[in-house]
Amino acid sequence: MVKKILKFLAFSLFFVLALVAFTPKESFYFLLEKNLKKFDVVVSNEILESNFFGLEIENLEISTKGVESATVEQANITLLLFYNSLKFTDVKLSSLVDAYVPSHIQTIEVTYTLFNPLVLYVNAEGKFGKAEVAFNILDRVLNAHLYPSKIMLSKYKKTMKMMKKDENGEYVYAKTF
Amino acid sequence: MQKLSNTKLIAVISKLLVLLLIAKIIALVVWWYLPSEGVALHAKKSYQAKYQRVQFSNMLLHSKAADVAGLEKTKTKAYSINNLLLKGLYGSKFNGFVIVAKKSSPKKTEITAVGESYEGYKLKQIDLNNVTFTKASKEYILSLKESKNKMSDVFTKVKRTTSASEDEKQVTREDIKRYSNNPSQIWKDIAIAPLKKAGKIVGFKVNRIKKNSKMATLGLKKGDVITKANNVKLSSFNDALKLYKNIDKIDTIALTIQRDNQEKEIIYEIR
Repeated sequence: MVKKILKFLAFSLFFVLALVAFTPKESFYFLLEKNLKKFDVVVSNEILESNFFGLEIENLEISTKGVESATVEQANITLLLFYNSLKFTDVKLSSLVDAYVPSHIQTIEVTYTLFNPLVLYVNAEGKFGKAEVAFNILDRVLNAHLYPSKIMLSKYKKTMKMMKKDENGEYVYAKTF
Repeated sequence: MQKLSNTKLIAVISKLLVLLLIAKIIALVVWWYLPSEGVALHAKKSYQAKYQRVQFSNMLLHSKAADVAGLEKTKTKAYSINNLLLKGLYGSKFNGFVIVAKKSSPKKTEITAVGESYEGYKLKQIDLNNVTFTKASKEYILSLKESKNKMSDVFTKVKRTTSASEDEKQVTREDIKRYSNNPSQIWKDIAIAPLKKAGKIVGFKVNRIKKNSKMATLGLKKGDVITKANNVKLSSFNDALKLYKNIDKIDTIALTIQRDNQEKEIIYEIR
């Protein structure tokens, strides 16, 4: 019986991986773009390259409501169904946000795993310091922890005022959507 | 009969191949229904002021021929218009007018609109720094003087104005710097929202101006709709922000506004 279950699981895993490998990832990306367009978010001039379990995108220019908001040197999408991630590297925000945060972000990584299906995790690192964000999909609650850099603390005091300090002295931000 | 191969292995491989085939078929069906191309933003790459402002009265009173002497070149060598000077231009492409004069009498200027003729040359179009005339099916390009003094000469004349009209305002670079260092202050002093008609942005409406703020001195009033900046239509957030981003490089801004169903222009000289 155990042997049969293991055999079934093995075949299922093989089927899932085969499905992921054959999935037209670029077409899914185009579908994502069309959905983002509904929110006035457009990604332009990107170069797509699909691989076995994901998609590599270079040179993304992101605009919101027609305003150039950010450029991203590289984005990697990994789809394994039970573990999915989206990693942005070398993000430069528009100069319009210069007064609020340092415009360069080294990495932003969004992960979603079936082992914790109700939470979406975001980790970011850049000149601003480090940020860890957890978004509960069911409750629609966002909790963020910020570990600010010296620049962030000294030059962006107005933004830091939006954050609260918890009992451990860490900067936290919570919002319900 | 002797077995040629391991039947169990063949069975497993067969099952795997069937699974691969099913996965491929599903992927093909999904691919069929998914879009084949994405969405891209086709935005103008850079903001360029499409006009040059000339203070006519000052120009006529104080002009010196050398200040804004034209530099001409022709596309064809069949005819030369070396005796003409381009002293100013206003407008873009097929709308607007130019101020021209003869080199022999540079103070005697004439205003010629697109489509009109001057000394036998018909004004065809206006570009950023030059204009195109036509005569006998040939095109002639007359340019403003290509020198560092070109813009400053014109604007120096503007600065000599002692009684600036109500629609001309002066803004200092310090004011702009103060706002750009503290952008939240902009929205404290003024509230602007896009005005849409048939789903398209036709301008930006001023909903509120804080009294006694710098914004209140700029001539804008509550209810004004800003439709153009330097003759460029403001039909998206991007158009407005491109102006904001490039403001350091601009000496003069002309805002076209709709006020009480009338079009009005306010000119800002940035010093």
